[in-house]
Amino acid sequence: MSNKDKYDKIFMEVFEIAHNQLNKDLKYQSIEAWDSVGHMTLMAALEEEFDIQLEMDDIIDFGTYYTGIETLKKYSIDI
Amino acid sequence: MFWKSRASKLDAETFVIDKKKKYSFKQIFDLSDRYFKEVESRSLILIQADRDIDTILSYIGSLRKDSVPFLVDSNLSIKSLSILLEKYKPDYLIHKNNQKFKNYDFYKKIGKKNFFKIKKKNLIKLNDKLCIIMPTSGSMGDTKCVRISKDNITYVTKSIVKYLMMDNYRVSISSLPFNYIYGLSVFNCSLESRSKFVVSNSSWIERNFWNDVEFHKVTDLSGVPFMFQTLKRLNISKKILSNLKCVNQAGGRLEPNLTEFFVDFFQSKNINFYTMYGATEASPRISFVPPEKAKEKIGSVGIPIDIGKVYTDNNDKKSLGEIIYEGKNVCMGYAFTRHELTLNDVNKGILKTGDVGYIDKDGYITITGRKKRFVKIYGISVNLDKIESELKKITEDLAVIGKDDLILILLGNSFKNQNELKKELKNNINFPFRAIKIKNVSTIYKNSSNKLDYARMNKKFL
Repeated sequence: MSNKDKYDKIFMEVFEIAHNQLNKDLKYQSIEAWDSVGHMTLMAALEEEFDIQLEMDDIIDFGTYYTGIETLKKYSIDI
Repeated sequence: MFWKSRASKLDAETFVIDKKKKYSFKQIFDLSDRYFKEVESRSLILIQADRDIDTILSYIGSLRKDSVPFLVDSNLSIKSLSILLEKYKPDYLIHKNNQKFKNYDFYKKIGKKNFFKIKKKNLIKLNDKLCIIMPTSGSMGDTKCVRISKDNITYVTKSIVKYLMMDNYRVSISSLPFNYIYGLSVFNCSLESRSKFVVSNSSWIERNFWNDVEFHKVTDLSGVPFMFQTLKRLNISKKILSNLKCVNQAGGRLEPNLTEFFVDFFQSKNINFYTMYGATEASPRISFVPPEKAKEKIGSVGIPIDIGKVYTDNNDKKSLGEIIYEGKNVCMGYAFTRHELTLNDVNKGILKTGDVGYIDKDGYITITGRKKRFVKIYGISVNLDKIESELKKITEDLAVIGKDDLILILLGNSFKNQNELKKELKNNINFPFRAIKIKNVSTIYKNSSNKLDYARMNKKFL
């Protein structure tokens, strides 16, 4: 599975959404499931999948499905 | 009573800080009074609770008009809301939605919210002692509320202010919703101690929240367990730490090793950390751990507040048994409809908490489990039996079990349509759906008398 597939799968599983919902509109609080608790669940799932430890600033600023890809670049994860 | 004006210079000082805008106690009182000018006293007022100035004015306005505020979850579905309207027939409704509510007329605006008035005046009078009603749980279709008296709320608020050593120099922030009694209590304590209260509708993981904490020099933070799990990962800035005086945790059990982490962390920064325990039925506080005893009493929820006492139902009143609390803050009783709001106090100051635990030689309480099938989901009490009985209308072949922050629905072989269950659940719960997991199992365990064997299922699946 490519990193992109893994990344997408995590979003779909954590928020229980379909693949076509993974787009530029998907951001913090844009759907009910992505609230503060959902956010931390997402962070934990990404950390586990990619074996990284996200910094506090990156957790707080991880605002959208797209910008998250940029965030992971900092940890040498190419999506 | 904390909502009454006081002949003190303090009432001219800043109370609520909403974004960059500041309101003194007097301004808040005057604004609330203006909104509620024509409202009849002893009205029941259902308020959609957001963390905003309009909700604060609606709450204070109700109390000052000797009416009864009924704060409900802002995200409550229209279906759940109409059940509450039907059962409780509130005389007024304050809601963002400007659509027509059956039996209600639009009356006027309160900021961004709309004030609706019931078409046909209620003839059922509220009990004179009743002050606030508070929903008890996030269970589906549950209209169960706790009836809190003026004595309950004023005594408990004074007691909390005392043990948290709050004075008018403190600054609190709305980290919890107002329809949650712990969140409301934080606000009440600010008002009682004539200290400042910052209005923020952001959560602990948002930069805005911490910006507000830093900018307004917040001294007091309150959170439920999942917020502390998050907080452990965040690096709180030195500037924020230098202003903080008091951090308190309630709303469920925090893992003892996490409690110890925060006790050590905050102690090293000269910040008081309080573990607290309570119940909506105790308006809400029962006990707290004094910060100087925190390290020694890790795992305990502390000693009773100064207006109450605690014992177990065991013969020696201390050994393992149900925790019983007696105090001036034990609510008058429950309500399910408007009718119960006429009733007098039925509890007489005694609360069987439903929690099981013991009390040590120094009087410290340790909770070990629960008597009934309740779990805490992100701080909200959820009745597993209630969910189970609702779902059994769809299929009998299931069982609902759970632990903190998890509800597990075990589905037997005969029923495969998970989507139907999910849809039913989503429409009817007032807590995040993610706390629910559905699992297909080969058999739902039953005991010899053909009752569900929860102990066995808990052991196997939780």
